[in-house]
Amino acid sequence: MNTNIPTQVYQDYLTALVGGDRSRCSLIVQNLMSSGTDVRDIFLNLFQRSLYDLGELWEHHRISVAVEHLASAITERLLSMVEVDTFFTPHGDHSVIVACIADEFHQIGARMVSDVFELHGWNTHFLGANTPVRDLISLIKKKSPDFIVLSVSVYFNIPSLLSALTELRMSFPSIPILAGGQAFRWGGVQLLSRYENIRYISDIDELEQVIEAYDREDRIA
Amino acid sequence: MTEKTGSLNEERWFAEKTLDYLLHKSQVVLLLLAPSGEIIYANTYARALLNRDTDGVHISEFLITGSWNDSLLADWTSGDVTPIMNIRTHDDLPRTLYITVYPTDAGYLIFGHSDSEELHRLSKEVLGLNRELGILTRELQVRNRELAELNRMKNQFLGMAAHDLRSPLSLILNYTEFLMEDLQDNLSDEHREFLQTIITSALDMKQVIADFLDVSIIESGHLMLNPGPISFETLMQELLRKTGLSAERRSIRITWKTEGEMPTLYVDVGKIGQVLANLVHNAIEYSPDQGEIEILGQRTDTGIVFMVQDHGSGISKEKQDKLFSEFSGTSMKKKNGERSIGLGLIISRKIVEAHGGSMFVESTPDVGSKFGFILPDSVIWSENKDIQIQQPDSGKV
Repeated sequence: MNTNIPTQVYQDYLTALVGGDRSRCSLIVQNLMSSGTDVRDIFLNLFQRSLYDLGELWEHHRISVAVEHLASAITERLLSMVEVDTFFTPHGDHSVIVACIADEFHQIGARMVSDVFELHGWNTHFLGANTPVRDLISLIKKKSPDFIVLSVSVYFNIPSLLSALTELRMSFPSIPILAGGQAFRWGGVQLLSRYENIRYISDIDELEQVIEAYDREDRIA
Repeated sequence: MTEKTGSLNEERWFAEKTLDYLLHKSQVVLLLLAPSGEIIYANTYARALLNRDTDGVHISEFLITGSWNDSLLADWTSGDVTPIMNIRTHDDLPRTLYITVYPTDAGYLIFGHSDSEELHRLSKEVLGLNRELGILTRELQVRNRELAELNRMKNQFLGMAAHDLRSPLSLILNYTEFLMEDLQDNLSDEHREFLQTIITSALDMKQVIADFLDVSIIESGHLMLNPGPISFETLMQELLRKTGLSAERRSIRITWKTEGEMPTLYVDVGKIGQVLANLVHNAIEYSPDQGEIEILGQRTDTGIVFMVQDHGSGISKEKQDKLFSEFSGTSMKKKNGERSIGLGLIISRKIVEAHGGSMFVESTPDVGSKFGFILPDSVIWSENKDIQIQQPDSGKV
């Protein structure tokens, strides 16, 4: 996705985020919002990009755990700020449940995925980090969503994802499941082919294509 | 600069490096205290943490307020409890150090450190709470969206219902009036009174329906103002024409006066007239027979004030706070015992706010009430006036 966020603004934001400067980050996001920057642009080219950059710094031992944690907390706060605009899209009848599997504590990606569904007028149920499968199953029974979305950020949590998929497929063989997240950077996509009606989503653009196709088919039907 | 590589077998080299690390580089606090508690030595980390000159300063100066007592040093060395020292740091946040205290001939040697496991647990919990807060905030925003949608549907329903009720009500009114006219010679006094009651009730209902329509229009964000110039005197003449008959029926006297020179206003004349008529009608309804109502127009530093004062039953403080809120459940008992659903004040508030002003009420039970509104100076008329009309937000009350 092309961005309208100037490089210097991004660099200022990243510097503030690494420095734990919540107010500065907030001001930059507010300025972008008031200048009419698209929410998706902020999601992808500010929040996602900066967290990926931070992840890289962390992997190269350039920043501490504390810096990474604080940056995540600041991003969550800023998401709440941006979401106010996201939620007032006119809504239809489609619904989705978005969750991170058990032991997966990185929820920002999943939250942004939920927000993208909101932008398309879907009713979202975001369960967040570390969701036990039984809780997920219970909510699916209650809400009968059009999609289930599972996010996994840590590669070592992929076995937990597979085990969750086995249980979900047994209980709900026909509800489409979308899976994605940073964990698949290191491989594992082919493991999803063991299951029926599951699709790997590589990024937000692909997610939007899937949502639009579903909405289109529904309109035709 | 590359240091010469040392050997762990060289005792002196090992001791020097360990001491250098402990005194200057580690995050271990090292303090040497005199027997009376004054600091004789503090290592680099201790000085950074306390952020001031420590030499000769009593240790109690750095502890959290009220925590010092004369037996504290003895307690720390007694071995009965795990010694903890809660200190005030440079950022004014307290910090806990787990300490080991060695009594010496020269006083006390104290080593202190933070419990990294404890901090890790704390950090994990705080992060977990933050994640939960994020989910709850998101949930709240989803609920807000649903509420806004419900509010929109409510307004739509209100508008449709009011619109659909208008036609049958007009029929009731028209046919009742026909009956009154056509049968006037054949009606007994009692039957005439029956028909008159139908007409009066239907007119009341017509007003309620008109209020519903107004609320529906205002709440859906479609309130349009058509401003024009008008003098205070003309506003008052029009107001007395509208309200005079109701006042006369109850022998209530209405007077008006101004304080300061009242300028010509640039307002939506019909709607501001509606607000004033609403305030005066309320004052009439809650006034005793033969009562008095005073209307005041005042030019002040904060704007143009309109105030309607009655000497009726007054309103309790708790009801005053809810008077301008939609469907707050604050129904008022009129003089004739009927209850009003009070939409008039909500409509008035919205109209005044659309002009950039605000409503107010001052009331004392059994003494009377002053209802009014203040309009900003921006509604003062001048040549080529083009005021900014502030539309109320849809869905907000």
